[in-house]
Amino acid sequence: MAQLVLQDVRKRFGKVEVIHGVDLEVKDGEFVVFVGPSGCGKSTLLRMIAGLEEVSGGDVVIGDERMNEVAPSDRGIAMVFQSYALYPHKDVYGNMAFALRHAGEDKKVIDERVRKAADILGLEDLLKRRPKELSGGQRQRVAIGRAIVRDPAIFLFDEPLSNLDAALRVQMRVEILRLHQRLKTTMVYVTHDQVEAMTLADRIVVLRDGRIEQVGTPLELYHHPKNQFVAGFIGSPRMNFLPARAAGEGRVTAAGSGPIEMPVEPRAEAGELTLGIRPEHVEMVAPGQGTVAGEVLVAERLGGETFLHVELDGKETVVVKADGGVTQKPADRVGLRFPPEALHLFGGDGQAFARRERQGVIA
Amino acid sequence: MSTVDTTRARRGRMGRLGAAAGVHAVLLAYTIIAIFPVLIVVLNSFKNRRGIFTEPLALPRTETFSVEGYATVLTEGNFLLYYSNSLIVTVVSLFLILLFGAMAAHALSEYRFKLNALLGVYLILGIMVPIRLGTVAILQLMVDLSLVNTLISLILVYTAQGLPIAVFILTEFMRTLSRDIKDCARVDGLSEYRIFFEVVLPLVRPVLATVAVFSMIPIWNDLWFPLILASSDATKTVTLGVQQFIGQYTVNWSAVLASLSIAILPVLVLYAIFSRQLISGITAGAVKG
Repeated sequence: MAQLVLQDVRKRFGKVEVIHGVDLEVKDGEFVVFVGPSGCGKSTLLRMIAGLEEVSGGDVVIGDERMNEVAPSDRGIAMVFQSYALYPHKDVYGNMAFALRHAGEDKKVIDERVRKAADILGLEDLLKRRPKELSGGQRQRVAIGRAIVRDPAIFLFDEPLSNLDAALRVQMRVEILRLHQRLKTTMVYVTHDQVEAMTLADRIVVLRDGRIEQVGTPLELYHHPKNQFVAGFIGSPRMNFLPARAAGEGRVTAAGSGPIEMPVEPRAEAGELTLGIRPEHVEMVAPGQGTVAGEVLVAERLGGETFLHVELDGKETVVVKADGGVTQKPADRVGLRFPPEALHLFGGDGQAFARRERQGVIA
Repeated sequence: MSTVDTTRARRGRMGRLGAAAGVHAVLLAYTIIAIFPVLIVVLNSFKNRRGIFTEPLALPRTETFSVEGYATVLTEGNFLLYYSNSLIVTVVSLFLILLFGAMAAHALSEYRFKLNALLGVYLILGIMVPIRLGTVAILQLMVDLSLVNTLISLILVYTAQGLPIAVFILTEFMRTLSRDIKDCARVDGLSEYRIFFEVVLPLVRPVLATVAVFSMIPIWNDLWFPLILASSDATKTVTLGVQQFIGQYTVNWSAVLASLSIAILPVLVLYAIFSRQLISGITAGAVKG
């Protein structure tokens, strides 16, 4: 059990700086997810916490100890890798016991801990198998078991579910959540998948180009994104963005609409504005009614819901999440209503206007 | 429509069959050409002198059958000594080539340091320069080190000769190893040496076997360096020992052929050991492939 603090952490490869001063505090027992597009530095940051990459500047503090020069094995961490990284020549038991054996731990203690971890993960019957005799899900479970056995203060996960198929990923996601509820250990988890981030995290850290864009609970990020990047990254399908113009008195016009009342704090803004609305908040109404109108381009029917891609008269495309049973076909005309309370507004620099009402706070 | 399809399908199948037959014909021809001399050596080693000269291609018959060659080899001269000299030189050289080759390859593929690429080229350069060009210098060196007529001189030379190709092949392969598994070992607290011995080496076993087979044959068969560096009676290798049966005026062909036949055996055994390892796929399941 330990907290993790990053203070102005930087990473340079040669002359190129890839992490530009990250400050972050992870509380004891917290589940924090680093999320961002590939190349944003999230894995590098995790490897620096693990001690696998040197820290070029700033401090990594675990517990109360500065860990910059401490070897990975002495940091009280355990890491689960994307490629499982099991030792192929050792069976499941040997894989899980390896670190402890190497540390010269007592045989009885090792056996007890391995059996306990195997019990938690349902691996009791597989202990004698080699990695190649296991399915992908089982291998990842062994990799997690190997981490549990070490009884670390912090778990580090580096995209652990990316190699699994979709169904297995959902299942393992739930298992990792339950594991966290059970162990109550600090966990840091890296993923590029915003669904994983939303479902797993106590707090999400959105990274881009080696900088933190925003830190917050999943619902905070969903309802109050600080900027256009976070707004577009969190949520699926992604938020619709429409160019907008100020129309005075806190109102804007966008895509041929009339003036729309915005639920945001006013701010002096000279540049171009962008209106944001999530597909699930757009309401479909009869043509001629609503905020804007357009023509259906594509209807993606998923059964329970339908995603309609609507081309507005101003040629922008808006994705609408509608009922599974909607009858609209391509080339049909529809009207779209933008409920004012669901709108987001971004300035020319991509920074969001603060929204007046706090949403998504779970008491 | 369907008839066109079936004829095309049949033609395709016939074409594939024809291609397969062609490939096998070539392979078969090559096999015969490769095995024929070996077979002649082994066959004639079981004949007496008359049999060898009158009917060299025939199987041994009752009148021509004889093991006099083997008898000469095993009783006269120090053939068993030569044999063990060859084995010691080959096995020790192989061990050193594999050990140092793998260590160098690991360093080149795993660690980022200045001049990494240059060092790699330097280590591999030996592939392009035949070591025999340096024979005179090597001989001088061995004389200065008082290593002439020792097996150590041969082991050193063969290790140097085998290292470049070993480093080359192993480096290429080790670059493809998953970085995660080594990082995982680091998190587990292994030292860099133990990562090499306990994690990397087991993963590259099939490649080690390949390199071993490649390196073994030229060492076992070499006549040049034993002749120059270790021609004393105590340090003769098999290939050199065979020469004692080849005189200026008479050649004891039975003995020569018998000793050559025996010399094939250990290479076959070593090959059988390593070729079992050549079956790759040992890493299957460790990382998602």
